[in-house]
Amino acid sequence: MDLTGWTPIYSYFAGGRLMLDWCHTGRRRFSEPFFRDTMDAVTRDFAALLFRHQSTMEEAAEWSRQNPGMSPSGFIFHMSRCGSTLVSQMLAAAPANRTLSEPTPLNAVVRASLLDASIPRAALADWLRTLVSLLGCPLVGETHYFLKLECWHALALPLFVEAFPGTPWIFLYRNPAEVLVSQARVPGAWTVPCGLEPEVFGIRPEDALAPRDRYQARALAAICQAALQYRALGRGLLVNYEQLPEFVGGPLARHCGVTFSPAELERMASVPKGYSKTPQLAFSDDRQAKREALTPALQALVDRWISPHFERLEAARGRR
Amino acid sequence: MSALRFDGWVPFRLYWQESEPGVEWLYMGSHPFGDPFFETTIYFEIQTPFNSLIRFRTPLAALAEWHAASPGLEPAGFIFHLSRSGSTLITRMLAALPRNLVLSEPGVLDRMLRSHERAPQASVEQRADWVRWLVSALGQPRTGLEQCLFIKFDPRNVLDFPLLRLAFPHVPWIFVYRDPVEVMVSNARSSARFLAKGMMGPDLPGLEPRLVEDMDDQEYSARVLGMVAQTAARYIESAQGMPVEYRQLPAIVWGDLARHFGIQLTAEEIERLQQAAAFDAKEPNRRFESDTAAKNREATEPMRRMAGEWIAPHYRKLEELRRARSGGFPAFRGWLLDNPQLFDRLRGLDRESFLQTALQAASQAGIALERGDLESAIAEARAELARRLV
Repeated sequence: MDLTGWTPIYSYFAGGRLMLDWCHTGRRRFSEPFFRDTMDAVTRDFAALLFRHQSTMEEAAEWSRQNPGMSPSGFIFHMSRCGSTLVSQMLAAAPANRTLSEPTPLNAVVRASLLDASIPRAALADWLRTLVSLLGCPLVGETHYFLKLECWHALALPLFVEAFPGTPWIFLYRNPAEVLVSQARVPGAWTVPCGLEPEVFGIRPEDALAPRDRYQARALAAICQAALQYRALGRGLLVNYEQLPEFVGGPLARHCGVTFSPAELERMASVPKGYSKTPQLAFSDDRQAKREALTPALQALVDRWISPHFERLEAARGRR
Repeated sequence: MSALRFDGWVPFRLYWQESEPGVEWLYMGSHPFGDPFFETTIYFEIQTPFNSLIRFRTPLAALAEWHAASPGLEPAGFIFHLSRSGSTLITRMLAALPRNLVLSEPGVLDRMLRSHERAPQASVEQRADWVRWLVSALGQPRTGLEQCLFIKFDPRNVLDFPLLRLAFPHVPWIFVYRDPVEVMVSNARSSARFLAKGMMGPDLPGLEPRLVEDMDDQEYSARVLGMVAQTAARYIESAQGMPVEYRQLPAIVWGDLARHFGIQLTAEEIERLQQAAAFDAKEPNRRFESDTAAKNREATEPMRRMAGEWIAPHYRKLEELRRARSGGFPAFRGWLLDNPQLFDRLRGLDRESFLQTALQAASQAGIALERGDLESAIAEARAELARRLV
């Protein structure tokens, strides 16, 4: 089947084989804040919704060899609620940047790498390369390719570096109290039961039960710890939320070896005011509000679980 | 050994000497079987001056030799049916292509399939040979253009399916049927021959001859039709037949049915089939139109009751098999992914236009698809994506 104009939208294991589900996206640009938002919009069309295509990973790899996508210019890892969507939306504001924000097809592979030791690393790295290549087929005018990943993908940083040794990556983090307040208000999908296996974060299921904010604190700690542990792998860069939004047009572009034109920089700069992931999470300087919402209980969780890693991240960033 | 040659001769009747069958031949030269039924052609051919003068009979051994010398066309497809269900429309359409040789209910073959009535001592293998030899003689190319042989059988022959299957284990076959009430009404107007009492022979399962005698005609018809439908459903399950419902006509002929029979159609051939479909099958100068509404107006209360009691359960089973085999959303989806033009046509439509366009396309492709299939597929796909895209 000719898969021009088709995009893999999720991956899954069936009978021990990795499978892909494809949707016809045509020339649709991935400009929404998240990959799944674009897919929601695409699949509002009944034909796109109903007539999807399934293939094995091998078939997809064959197609990808014939129709290779772009090499990624950079990966964006993050601890969630720390401005990562602002970064990806700013990048996406320049039409030359193909920017995929948390593309769902990677999840099965990243999960398998964290949970299933029986799958050879080389196979996982191959799958990851194939998926990134399939997702990176450029539309007319797209010359750079950025991927913003799920926060928990930071735990699989070694796999990404193995698959893409030369590709620059950043890890974005923020004052943990502000992050935890945000997660306590509107929990991320990965923090709720049936969202994601706690083992991904190295947490035993029995420790994941309740209360939720304790689990969130531990998971965020695991993410930060992974970033610290792997920061020397490949071409990484630690970034604090406080460096936004100027960081995107400057250090990020330099880190990724990309030059943005003045017009592109202007478009990017116009994003923060207009952007909102969801209305209640609108990007604005909400540091004050978040600190006020910090209860003593949340502060205790931050202090116990996340702060030590945050401080070491800050120290490591300063040394660079 | 110099075998007899029968070029241009057609075996049209069996005769029996004791329990040994022989065949009676008439000479047709290169005349085609141009009428809706085999017997109509024979009726006219038998009156030609030559055939009125010469009657030619041979024992079956001559058929065997002719089979060895000139095997004729291998059958490409068999058509069974419930009567009054559109099977003649199918044969007329197939016959519209010069490369097809179509035999529609040859009586001589019906009798040969029921040879156990006259020759109970013959083994089934022997009788399967007889069937093969006869089909081979009937399936000689007539115009020289024919490549594919299709045979439509009398409705009662579905009971003889095992013998035919033994003779031709790999020939694809279909069973054509229709809403039971409509079939009853049509047979009440003028009854198909096999529904006349006594025509089914002594082996009517579940019906004692004594009971049959006193039975009301409509009950008898309904019971026989039910038995034909039931038998067909059983063999469809065990021997990969394809169920064809009247409503799928005519589009299924150039869609699924052609695929089932393994024929590749050119665009020009599809057009010829479509032209043939535009005319009433049994009266080719009248245009074909569905008479479902008219038939339902004519249905009497006893007809409905009998149809419901004796035929409807088997009709439902056939419908179930049809949907399981080649229907529903998965079949449509598979077909559509091979047809990018249609995919493009379905994009960007609102719900109602999407449903209508899709249903129309499915019907043209001969895929059993209902509105409910699409609606539940939409609901399932939405739920699936909500689950997967997190």
